[in-house]
Amino acid sequence: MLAKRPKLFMTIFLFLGGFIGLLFGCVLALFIANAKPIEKDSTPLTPLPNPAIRTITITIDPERKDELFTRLEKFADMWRYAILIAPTRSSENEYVVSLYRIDMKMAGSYFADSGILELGFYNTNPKSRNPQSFFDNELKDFEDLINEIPNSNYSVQK
Amino acid sequence: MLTKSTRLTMIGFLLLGIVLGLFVGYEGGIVVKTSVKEMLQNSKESAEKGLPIKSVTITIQAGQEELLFEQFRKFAQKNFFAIRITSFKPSSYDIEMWREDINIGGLFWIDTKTLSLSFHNNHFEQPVSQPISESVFDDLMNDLQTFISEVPSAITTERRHRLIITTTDNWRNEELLAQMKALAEKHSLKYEFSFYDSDPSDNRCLDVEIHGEGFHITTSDCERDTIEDFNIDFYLDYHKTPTATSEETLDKLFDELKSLLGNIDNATVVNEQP
Repeated sequence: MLAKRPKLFMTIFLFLGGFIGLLFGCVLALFIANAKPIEKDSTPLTPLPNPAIRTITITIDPERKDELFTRLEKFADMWRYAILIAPTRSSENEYVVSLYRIDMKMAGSYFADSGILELGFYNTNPKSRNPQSFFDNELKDFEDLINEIPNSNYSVQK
Repeated sequence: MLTKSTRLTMIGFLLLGIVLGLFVGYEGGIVVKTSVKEMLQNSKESAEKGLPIKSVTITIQAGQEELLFEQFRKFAQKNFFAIRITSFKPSSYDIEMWREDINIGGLFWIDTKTLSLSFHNNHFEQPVSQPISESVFDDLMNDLQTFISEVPSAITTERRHRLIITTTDNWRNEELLAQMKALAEKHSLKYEFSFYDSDPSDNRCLDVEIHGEGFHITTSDCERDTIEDFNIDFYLDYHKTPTATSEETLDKLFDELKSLLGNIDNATVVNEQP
């Protein structure tokens, strides 16, 4: 048999040798070899850049500030955001507006004298990449709520 | 019958296979070993990242939860935290507060009227290389406490120390319990020992509590636990601020129990800062 088909048996021996070597090589490495040094993530000294996925500008009649804030709270409740609307420490005219969720967040300012709210819509984690449709879906609801305020103007920039 | 040269060629092929296999197997083994090491390191890092910087428990009387939540809203507004309180009635309320540097999260259990709250670095926005100073957390905690103290029945429980006892196979927890009982008796403190279990007929877990004026010490263990570690936690309980006496007494008891437990065979006592 061996003499009749030498090429077949050479191939078999090659693979058999390979298998035995693989097994012993693996065991040998696991017991005696040192793992390669792991490159540490170079932790940046400054936060990672986190550009806004959408920028929203809303203009309302300054007299309707409370209506705007109510709608912001309604939107936050609808999409389960933690929310902050508070005057800044430096000025009673400017309000900090921030909506925060584990995956996405909105942050910006409302200027009481001009009735302008500027918001950026971001991934909460700069490293994550939520599909843009997620932002647009939520913004549809946001636009509907804002449009309920008479004489309001809503615009989104990509 | 095989010729000599064919036989040698076959042996040569076998040896060639072994050499190639050894090389590939050895390299593969190193890759496996490196991957496992990397995985362990990553899981350790992410666990450390998620650890709270401060933890606190607040207990109130029935019917005062809305008052407590209102105080949280005021605290959030003052310190520029976005806040959300979500009801999961009838079991609990979820509380989350977010700011660019810090996030605070907790659960209020309706049946026990207890809220567990923890303060974390906001690791999404705060580089790990630049952790927030502990004094920022201290200031926030103090400020939160002033708001909480507006709720008449609120008792804040703050963990001050933790002893971790790492044991060997020969460990007997009776020795630990005996030392804790001796400590309680020596200082005339209330010592409570009870069994419990998720299955009431089983009762395989034990719970030990030592109560004093403005503090308590607690440990628990379940027979079926595979981890051979015990935690003994030292808590301060207060309404507005802890009294100097309770703080001093708790520190003394911590030192005393640590040295007592250090004398037990087969146990290593580690002090973990909260």
